[in-house]
Amino acid sequence: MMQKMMVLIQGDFVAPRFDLATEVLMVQFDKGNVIGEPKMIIMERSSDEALCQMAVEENITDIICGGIEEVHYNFLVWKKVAVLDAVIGNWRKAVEKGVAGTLSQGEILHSNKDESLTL
Amino acid sequence: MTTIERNNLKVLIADDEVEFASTIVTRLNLRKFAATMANSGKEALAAIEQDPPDVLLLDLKMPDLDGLEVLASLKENHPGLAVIILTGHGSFEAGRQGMELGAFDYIMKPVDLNLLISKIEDAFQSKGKQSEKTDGKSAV
Repeated sequence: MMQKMMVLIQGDFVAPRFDLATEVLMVQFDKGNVIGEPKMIIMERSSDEALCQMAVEENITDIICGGIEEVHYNFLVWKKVAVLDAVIGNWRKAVEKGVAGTLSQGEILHSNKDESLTL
Repeated sequence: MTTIERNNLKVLIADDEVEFASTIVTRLNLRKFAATMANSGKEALAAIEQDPPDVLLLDLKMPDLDGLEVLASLKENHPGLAVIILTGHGSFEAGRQGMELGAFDYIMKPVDLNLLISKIEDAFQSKGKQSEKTDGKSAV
């Protein structure tokens, strides 16, 4: 089944706080392979409510984020979204592992120095 | 449009939401645009006077001069400048008004970066075609 992942980012990294994130990356994938071009959305201002609404409207199946409040975590889980919270590190690595299904909650991702912003 | 062609494409973002504008600037610069920002209508007009951009991304709601006022002023002083209106969720009507005042197109917030880039490139190309037409007229 095709899945759609939402990753909250800030510069090179997974955004440390869900409620303060303004950059959203959406990636569609199936059986470990990315499908199509990832989509990057830039929000006018940070809003945890707007992010939850966007996740529902976009039929997101998986979210990778930093610190998320319990109320929003519970809402998303209730909406059948798999939330990988407290992920720290480079978002490219997070996407790679998320798509492969090997990313876990609270994982710290170490990145190489030469990995700089390209997207 | 190739990355090489984008290198000299100057984009000015006029928006009072500093974080939003600076994120757009960062992401556009990573894609080889030369993007800068102004955080008010007056600041935008001053920046355009100093160094006119190829494309202006213009927010409609700003505290001093709003986007439509900026657009009206540009119509007089910089009629060839390609402008893309940035409007908040639900302000479709304002975007339409902007287009009536000569904006090339409008885009709703939150912004899909790929869509924004394609609109910037379209705006730049249409500006090129317009100036070709103008040059053609003056040559005749």
